[in-house]
Amino acid sequence: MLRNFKVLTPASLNEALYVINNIEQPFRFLAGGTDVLVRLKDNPAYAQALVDISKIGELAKIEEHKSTFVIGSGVRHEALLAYGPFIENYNGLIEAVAAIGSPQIRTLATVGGNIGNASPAGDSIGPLMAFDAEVELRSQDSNRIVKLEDFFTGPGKTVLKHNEIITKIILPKSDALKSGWKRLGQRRAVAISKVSVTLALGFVKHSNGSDRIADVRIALGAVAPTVIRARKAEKFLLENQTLTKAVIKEACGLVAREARPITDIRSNTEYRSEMCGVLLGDLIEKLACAR
Amino acid sequence: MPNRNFTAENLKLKDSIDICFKLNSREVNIKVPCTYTLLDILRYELKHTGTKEGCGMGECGACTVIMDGGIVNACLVLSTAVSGRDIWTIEGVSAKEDAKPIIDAFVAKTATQCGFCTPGMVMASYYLLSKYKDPTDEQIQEGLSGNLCRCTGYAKIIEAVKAAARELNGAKKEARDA
Repeated sequence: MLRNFKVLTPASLNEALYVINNIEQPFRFLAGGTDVLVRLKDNPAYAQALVDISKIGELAKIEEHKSTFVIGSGVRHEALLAYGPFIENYNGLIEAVAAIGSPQIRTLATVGGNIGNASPAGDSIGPLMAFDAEVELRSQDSNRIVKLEDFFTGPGKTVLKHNEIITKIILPKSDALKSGWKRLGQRRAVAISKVSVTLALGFVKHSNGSDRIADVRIALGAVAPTVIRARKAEKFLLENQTLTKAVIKEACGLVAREARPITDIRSNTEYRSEMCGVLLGDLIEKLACAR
Repeated sequence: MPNRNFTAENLKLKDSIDICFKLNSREVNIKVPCTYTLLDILRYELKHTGTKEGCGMGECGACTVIMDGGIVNACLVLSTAVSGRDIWTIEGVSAKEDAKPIIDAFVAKTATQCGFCTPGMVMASYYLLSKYKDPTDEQIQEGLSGNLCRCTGYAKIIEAVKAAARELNGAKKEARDA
């Protein structure tokens, strides 16, 4: 049984911003609770206080704007998976979120929680980063937008200040991109990824009728202190434009070298690096053939 | 009060909380320690012991309940998040007409051995069959992917879900034909 912590229950974003601005002891947010409660069970010193933001309705909406989708940080994974425009155009995001935990966990866990938790293996982060998502961070007297790529500073570490809340995830519309996500884990459900790769590709028709690559985004999970974009492999594919066997092979080699994985209980450095290339190859094949 | 729209109670660090929620369609009002999870409230305060505690960490699904129409691990819902929710446990669901074929199929197909995972399995199956009338093997596997069974090895559980789906569809057809 859990013990030795107190809870604050702000009912609105304004109340939440007020309480975190004034709270004296160290605290953790409780959004979905699927990570925080597990950690508290393992380590009662993990938090002395929880700020329960799980019932703040204004954080739980998805809105469509002219050139963006705005996902409230409190949106549950199941709600994201049911959102039509994402099912239609953000396959990589859907595949990643559908692989998180289990149906029971996805009913509770939130998009903002997966980001705030800042795990290098956070499965929703790769696709969001590939789509150039930004996060809105609010405090009582400030409001700033940070690129997701700049949000993380290390495992479990972010630029979020003690009096700020992640309020929104801003996802640029990218109808022209085809995307996919793949991972390796010990089992299919309730497993932390050993490696995950997101690929998003945009094509244009060349005058000779062939398809040329016009846009490439690659994100790698669980192979660096944070989720990262594989910029060298992206640049290489963009410069080469056509997906020949040799180009794909070279890109897979590049991505394996851009990974900076560690050896831990789930996997080792060599395997993780190698698998980045293998998963990228699978995704290129899948996206290039699916057109 | 910094803002007249604020509620003083919401701004205080609390050890215990008064909560009000619906359990199997009955209203429950109770004061509990904040550190309690929904699972603790069900088992220790309300003596609804059909919901089991396995791992207590969201891995095994033995504590699966339905909250606001979706399945959740009761061990991962903190007391403060319970107020206002509509909760269904195995005690409530097993009394429902459309859950009977699922429970009967688990018995008929010997999909239980020690029985510890069974309430959670039935809850996840009940939710699955409310979403898919005639689920594929893959949909069943995905639907039960948050529930561990250490005895039967799943084959019989999947058979039971399929048998229950047939029974439920047959019952509906009979009702239509009558």
